[in-house]
Amino acid sequence: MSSTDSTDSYGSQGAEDQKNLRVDDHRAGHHGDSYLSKARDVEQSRDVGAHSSLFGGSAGRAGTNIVGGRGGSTLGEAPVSAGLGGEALGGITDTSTIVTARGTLEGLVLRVDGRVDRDLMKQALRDFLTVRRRFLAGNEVVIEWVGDRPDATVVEDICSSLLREFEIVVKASRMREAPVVVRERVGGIASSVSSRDVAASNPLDNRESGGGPNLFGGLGTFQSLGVGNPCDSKDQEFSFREVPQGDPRTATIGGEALPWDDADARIVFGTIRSGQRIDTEHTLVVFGDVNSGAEITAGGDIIVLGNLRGVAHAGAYEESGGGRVIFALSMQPTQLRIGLIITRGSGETRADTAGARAEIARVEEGTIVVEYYNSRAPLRRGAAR
Amino acid sequence: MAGQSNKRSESQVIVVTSGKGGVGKTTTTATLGAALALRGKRTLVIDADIGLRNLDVILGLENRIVFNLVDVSKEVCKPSQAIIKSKKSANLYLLPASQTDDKDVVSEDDVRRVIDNYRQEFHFILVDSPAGIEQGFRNACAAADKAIIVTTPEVSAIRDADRVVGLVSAKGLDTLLIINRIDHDLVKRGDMLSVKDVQDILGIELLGVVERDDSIIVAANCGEPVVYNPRSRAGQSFDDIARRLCGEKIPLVTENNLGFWSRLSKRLGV
Repeated sequence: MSSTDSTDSYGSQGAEDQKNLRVDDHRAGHHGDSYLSKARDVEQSRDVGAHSSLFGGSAGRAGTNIVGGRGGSTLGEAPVSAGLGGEALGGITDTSTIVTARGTLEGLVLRVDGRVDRDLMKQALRDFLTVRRRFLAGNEVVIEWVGDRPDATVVEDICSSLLREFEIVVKASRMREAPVVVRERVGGIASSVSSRDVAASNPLDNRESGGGPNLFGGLGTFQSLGVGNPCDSKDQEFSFREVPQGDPRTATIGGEALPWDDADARIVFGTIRSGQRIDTEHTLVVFGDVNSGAEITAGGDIIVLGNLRGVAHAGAYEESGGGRVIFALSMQPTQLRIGLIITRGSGETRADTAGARAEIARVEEGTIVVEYYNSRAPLRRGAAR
Repeated sequence: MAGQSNKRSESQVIVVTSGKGGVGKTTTTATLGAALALRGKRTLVIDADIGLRNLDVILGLENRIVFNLVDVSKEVCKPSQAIIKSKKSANLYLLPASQTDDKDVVSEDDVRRVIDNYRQEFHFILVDSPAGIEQGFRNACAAADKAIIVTTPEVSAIRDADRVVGLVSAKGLDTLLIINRIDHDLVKRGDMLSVKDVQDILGIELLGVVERDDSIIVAANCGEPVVYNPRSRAGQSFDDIARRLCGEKIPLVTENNLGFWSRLSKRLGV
């Protein structure tokens, strides 16, 4: 840390008020509807929390958010549907969540949110198809309506404009039912999966008894196929895993049962504003910024996945600090404290916080040392614990 | 007020607050109110800074005050008797604060009841909050659905604004940001925080940016908000802000967006 004086003076840190840490809910929050309908074009406020990732609107994305092909960790979630809830980013009309596409055995299926109004729907379709015009023109598609089916006149209108503007023939349109996956066997080896709208039948009837390995065990409405690389299948659903049994205080790492480094970490989503305080005896993870004037105190480690501009106190309930660390993606603290040891921030503010490197602070020989985070230099607790 | 023939929907009640003093809350309330009135919206501006009233001076109405907010809350007068029509616009009214009391004389419920009297009569009700985060601030926020946070591009103002954003969000109000007194030349030289820097820290929706403008000082002393001055850039910005509040999409003008002639004429001082 450089020796220049921190120029920040402490703002009001009364902190009588309980902080209200709502998840920065850009999806269906109070910003959403009114601003969408008035279509304001004010500069987009920065969203804290992941909003880009999983719920995309582009073709082919839908099936690939499952990681791992051979029984490794997977997200046992039915993909796609979450992004089509008409969820809007606050402030600007965002059409990218209204239309998505899937390739299936019956051809291209366009999933359209039927709950938005007609003009918005047409605009969304236009936005979506214009980019993909070259390879879609002259093709047949099926339209699936999500959420609600619009009037027959609207459907007609959309079909004819698709034909007119993009030379796309709509061969069928239907409501999106919860699909049931039926296992197909080709030559004794279960191959690809097809999904069909089987509204009436009981999905459990379709479950194979015995048969090949089922990697994704557990209860759920949908059955899955385990054989073959899931990323290759164009359209599949996965079932939910069961909660792991066994001692919650230990992790099974490499076949051994080891204690977690921290079994009680507390996680918070959202920006911690000036004057707000968090206090926990465990490790604290903040998905967001900690603004100048805020104070976060933890008996364990502190991990800030954002800008740390306030005061962070790790290992707060042990004199030595207990070997605890403070980590931040962008380290610009007012003060860092580990145990009873305190150090000032350098007072520099980075002009471009996007270019910051992650740093980690720990105690070495009685002082706090801050260095760039190196994932290959893991922190060993050892005797300090 | 005489009954309006058209049944109006309820007004939007917006509190203008900042935490830090002197960043331009009162100027913003007055000028924004005037801008909304110029756009045909019936607007009431309320001075909630009891004991240190200023909104009347900025609007040039200090000589016309008979009753005030405290009188309405104590039912000394009728609500319609306390509001003062502005000099220049028939759409703009002022409910002044009392100068002889202090901020503990009304409670949040009192303020809510006072504002309820006017909800049917105005499109917009702007409440000018006092500086700070104590009872005066809480009173001002009492009846509001939205908050406009005003800040200047300075570290101390931003810190206080951040505190206020936290408090206001906890009350469930929508937050909008106005950055006041920005000087694009200083920003370019690296001497002043930019809009992006401020947004980096505060992270709330930006409603508008107002440049540092000498015409504001003149306007404040004369009691005529700058929005009536067609040559004032700050007046332009407030007009844009008013339009955005009404639902129009107006892009933010930065120095780069100005066309060649505007930049040239700015340099020539025309």
